[in-house]
Amino acid sequence: MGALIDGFATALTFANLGWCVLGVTLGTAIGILPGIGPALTIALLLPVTAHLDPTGAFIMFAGLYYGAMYGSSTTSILLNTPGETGSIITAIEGNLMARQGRGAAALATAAIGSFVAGTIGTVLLTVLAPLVVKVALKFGPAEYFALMVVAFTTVSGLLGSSRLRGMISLFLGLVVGLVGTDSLTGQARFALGRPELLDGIDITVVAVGLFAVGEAFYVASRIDLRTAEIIPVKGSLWMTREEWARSWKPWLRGSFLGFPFGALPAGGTEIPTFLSYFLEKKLAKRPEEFGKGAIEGVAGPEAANNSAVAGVLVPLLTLGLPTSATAAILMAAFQQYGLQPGPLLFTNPGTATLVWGLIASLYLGNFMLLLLNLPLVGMWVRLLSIPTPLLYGGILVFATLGVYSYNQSVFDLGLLLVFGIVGYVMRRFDFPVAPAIIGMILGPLAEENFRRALSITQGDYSVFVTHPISAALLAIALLIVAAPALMRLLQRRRLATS
Amino acid sequence: MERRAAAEIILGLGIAALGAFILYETQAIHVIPIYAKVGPRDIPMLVGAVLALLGLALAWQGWRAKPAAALNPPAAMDAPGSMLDTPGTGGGQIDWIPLAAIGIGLVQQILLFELLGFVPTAAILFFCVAFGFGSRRYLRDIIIAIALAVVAYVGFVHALGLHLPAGILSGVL
Repeated sequence: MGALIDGFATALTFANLGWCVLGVTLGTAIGILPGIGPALTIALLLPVTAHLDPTGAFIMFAGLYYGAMYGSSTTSILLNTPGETGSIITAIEGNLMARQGRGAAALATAAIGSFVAGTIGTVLLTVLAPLVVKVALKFGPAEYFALMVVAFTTVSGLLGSSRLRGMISLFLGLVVGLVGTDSLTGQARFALGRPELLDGIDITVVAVGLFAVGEAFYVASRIDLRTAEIIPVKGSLWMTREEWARSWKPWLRGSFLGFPFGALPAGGTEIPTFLSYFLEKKLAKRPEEFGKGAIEGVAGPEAANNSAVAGVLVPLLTLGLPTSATAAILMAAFQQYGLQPGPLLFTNPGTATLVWGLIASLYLGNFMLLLLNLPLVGMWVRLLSIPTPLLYGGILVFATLGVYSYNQSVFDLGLLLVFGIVGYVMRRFDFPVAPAIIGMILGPLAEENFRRALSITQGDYSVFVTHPISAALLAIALLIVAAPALMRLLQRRRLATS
Repeated sequence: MERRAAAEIILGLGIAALGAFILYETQAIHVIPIYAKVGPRDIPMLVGAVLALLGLALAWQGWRAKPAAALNPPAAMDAPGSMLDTPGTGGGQIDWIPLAAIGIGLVQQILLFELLGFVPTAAILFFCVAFGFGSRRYLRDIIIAIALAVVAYVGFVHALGLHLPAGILSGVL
């Protein structure tokens, strides 16, 4: 508790409040613009923020992280183009409400629901983080390696349409992570004789290539995706008594449903939003309204999405374990400042002020976002009227600018094009991108911990199964990989006996 | 739907080839004898081998795919999001002209970035992308392209202190 109060002292300084305002404003704008997500934005800001004071930079990133979620729900409701998988439901049910002239109510329930869920999620983060840190301090390299294996299996197994595609995406990311100088022996690996590759490939290049360039190729190549209809906001932003009555329970249920999915490395925000939708449909007094624009179907999933987004910060900050693409980029941001997310971030007095300042600024940012998104929604909506050709032209100009200025290297622009083409192919043939980003950032850490664990035991592999936590985690990973095959086997057996 | 199966075979073989290349390149990593136990080669070998196997599995899946089975996308059809899912192939037509336009914009920037500088190459890139996205208001696009490139250059170089090549405009901006 004292740590959080200190955090507020950090976050409430004039400069840091300014960073928070900048972050939430930028985040909202970016969330609203179709085609740009929080992962891409933070990746593009990395070169610009490289010289800033880290506390200010992270307070801005935190505002941006939350702000992008608010903004993307506005786009989903008015444009029916979900910016990320977590807003698919909002896009359906909210867009239907907007078509019936209840757009304002949909925006209001989404914004207030996001605020409720964001606050509950941040409270849970505040309470849980110190507890997880206490456990994580006992972790050695074997446990960390096992934990990362679990993260690999969940992100590749649960995201996307096929596990095989998820696994391929993960391993492509691992390959990219291998390029460069080996951290333990200093040997060059896969540099192919290019000095530019000795330092490895920057996450900025990969993320911008996959998300901005690949996305631009994909959207431009599909005539049907180029145009979308904006629905004007109608109705009152002040929800009626009935709308409040129908919203508050879904907000709370969504919040508590979403958080664990984000906090456990269980694969993102998509699943809790679907679960919340079905739960609300089941509990609703008028389930027949679902699929025609039911306010509960916006309130619940939107809350679930936002609290999952807050939950993702628990493993990221306390264990250094990113479970979403955005979290992986945030982790790269920490590494840029020479900070490694994990329990030591909380126990080291120098970084403890930073991390608690970040958490405190999440409360502040969430409140600012409510103010920014409810009364000012009309202003934000105007951003949606930027013509798509100009929007993507601008995105690519800033993408190339950001990538070049990181290392002042034209070679990186070439890599950007390569990853853009890879991103296009992945998008076109249904490969999820998040596992590649997570694999790239976690792969080198997993290898380092694996080899550290083995060098402590002088090459005795049994360390991974004799340490109980490591053994349990690896068993979970094995179960996640083997579960579908086991289920099929059981089914076949049942068919054979009956 | 047969195109999807063909794509899976080609992509799968390509991924398998990449895995094989990783295994081959691993031999070039220098290993100091003390680290021989679990050194810098082991994990790359594992990653390369698994990637090659996954690629072969994808190619096999494409080879085996029966037209009837391929018609049912693997995504859960009963999920409410399925109507929004953009199928990788089949749904929507692929238009190659925009891809070429954006590609030209990016390639010219790589080739001419240091020679001509940021402003002209970024303006050409902007124009190519806008063209690729179907805009045919050339004059408007050119004006916006130049204005955006100049503003971005001045803002990032003078206000934020980043380094961008001035090229033909050195001394002017």
